[in-house]
Amino acid sequence: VSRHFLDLDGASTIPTQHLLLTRRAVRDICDAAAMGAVHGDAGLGKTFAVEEAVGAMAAPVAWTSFPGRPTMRLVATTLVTLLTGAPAPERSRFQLTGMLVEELSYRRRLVVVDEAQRLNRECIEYLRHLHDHPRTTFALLLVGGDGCWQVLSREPMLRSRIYRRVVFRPLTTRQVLEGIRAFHPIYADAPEQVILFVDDYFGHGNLRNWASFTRSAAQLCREHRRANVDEEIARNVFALHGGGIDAS
Amino acid sequence: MPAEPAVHLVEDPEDSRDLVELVGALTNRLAGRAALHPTPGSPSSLQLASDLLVSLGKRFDALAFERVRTRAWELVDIWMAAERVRHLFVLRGHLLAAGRWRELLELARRGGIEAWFVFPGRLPAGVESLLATMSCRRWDPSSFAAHWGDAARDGEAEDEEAEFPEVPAEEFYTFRAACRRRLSPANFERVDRTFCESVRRTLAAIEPWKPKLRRPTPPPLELGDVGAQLQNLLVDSSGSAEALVRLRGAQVAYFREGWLVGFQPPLVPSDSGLVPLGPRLDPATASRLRRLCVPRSTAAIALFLVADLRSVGLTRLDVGDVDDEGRSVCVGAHRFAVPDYARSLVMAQFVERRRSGAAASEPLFVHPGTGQRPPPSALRNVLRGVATKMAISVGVHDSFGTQSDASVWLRSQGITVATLDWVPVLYQ
Repeated sequence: VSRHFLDLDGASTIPTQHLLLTRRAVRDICDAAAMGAVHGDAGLGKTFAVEEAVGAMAAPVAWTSFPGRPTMRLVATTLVTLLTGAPAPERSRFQLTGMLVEELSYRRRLVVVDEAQRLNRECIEYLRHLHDHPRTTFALLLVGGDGCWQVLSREPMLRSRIYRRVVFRPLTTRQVLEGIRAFHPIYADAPEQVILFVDDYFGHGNLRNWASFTRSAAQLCREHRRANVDEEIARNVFALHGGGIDAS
Repeated sequence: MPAEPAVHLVEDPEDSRDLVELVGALTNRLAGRAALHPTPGSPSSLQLASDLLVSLGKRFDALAFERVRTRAWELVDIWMAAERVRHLFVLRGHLLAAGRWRELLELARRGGIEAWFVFPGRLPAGVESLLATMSCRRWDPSSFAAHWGDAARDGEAEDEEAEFPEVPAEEFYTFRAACRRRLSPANFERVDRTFCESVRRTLAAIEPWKPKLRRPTPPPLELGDVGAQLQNLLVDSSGSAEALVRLRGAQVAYFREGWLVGFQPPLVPSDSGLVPLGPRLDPATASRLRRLCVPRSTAAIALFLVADLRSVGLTRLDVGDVDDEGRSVCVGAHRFAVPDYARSLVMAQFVERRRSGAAASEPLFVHPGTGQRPPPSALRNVLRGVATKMAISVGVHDSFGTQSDASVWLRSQGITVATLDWVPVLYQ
């Protein structure tokens, strides 16, 4: 189940263009057992969007991420453990690969690799091998933050295989104004200037920043019995966060 | 005219998915084309052999599972020959070391196989010098696609054949009418095509058995002849529904000439249930058997499933009883057909025996220890072992009988033959 950053109480999902595109992309790559990529800077809602999209799917989903500079063996053991639900046996990487091909051949499923920018050429080659293998029938979604696309697009073998790609960018001022009122009740009747003020000094079109701000603002609104966020609440939240996201 | 080069180099700088998909579409066992997907990360010689066996439909751990690691390359050669592979596509050739290229080139040379190496650019050290000594043809992705486009499209068209429709369980005299009434026009058209073809094939087969002069009562039939004819007719049905349609067509043909072929599916004595009308070696079962790589195992159980050959019958078989392409096997006076999709399962044993120098009159199966014709109990154990490994039931026909001919097959299917005391005028 997808959840908001900081488990924000009372928050709703904003149907941003990125969220809708991710939903469509996930559905498409699953239908075609293809590869897809969702990437963008931190805090823009990639993980939330992917969680939300896969939550509606009937096919089983295996979600994993690897530490920096993983080896092919680590990828193999992690995937075997993830897919079988049991610790990977002490076998050679080649045998584990055979097991994986076998496991991935029985039913259509989605494998999500988060933090895909950490993958190196060998691991990308390895995932490509699993995906290209004629017996396997899984969709592969690579989700990554800073530098993800640079890593993936460096490899022609991946570039030509990405069937759907969603690039997350910060929300524009217009998108913030359109969407944020639906995000949380404290913005329902908030003045437009206040919303723009918060976005200029704290949100910057980044949903994680907005979630941080909203959690603190909702608490202050409750304590001071105010239904909507106003400039005074906003300035107090900036202070609680050390002067706002731009304080340093 | 110079011979076509046996080594092809396909350079794909974009390393594209399209080319991989094209090779995937080209991969067709029955057309003699296989694709090797080498496991990344400098595979060893043994791993390469294992990948090659996987490309021929074997289990990824078949060599370990069947304890035949030391025979890895020998088995690759045998199965390449049994599957009659003529084109081997090697994807991502740049990931293979020169030593592995040498092994693949040797394999291609030994088997008369055209090897197609697909790679995105620079080849590993040593490979260029290896290739410099031989005649190679270079392709770019578009010329490669143009060369193979038709074959790939043919493969796609073959895959489009829908599943055979379910048919009503009516007796042969009302079967066609019941199908017409209950099936959709498209399904009936397909069923009826199969039915009429079966009538035609059966009439052609029984033509020599008819008496020269028409008599009020036809002569009794030799059960073995009927068994062999029906086995040939039913063996490559896609499933029990198609087998039933073919049998109904055959029943009509026999009836027309004065013989009544009955079908009463036998009950399995121990457990509940019916023994379904063949084929017991359907494509799915054949694919499952193909995952094994020891020829003796695949051949023994394939012959058991195709022809109901029990261990005694298997023991008696000679190399010469299998035809040169593995399409049929001669048992006594009768020839049993092996469906195309299962041909290689039998052929592998034939190839192995031929490679060991066995003559046509020597046994098809030999005891691994003595090299002599094995006792029936040894083959019975082989059958049971394979059945356990592959979860394929050998049922109650597990080889305690001594008779092995076409009439046994007839009885096991629940088919009876009687002579009518009159020739039906309806069909005169």
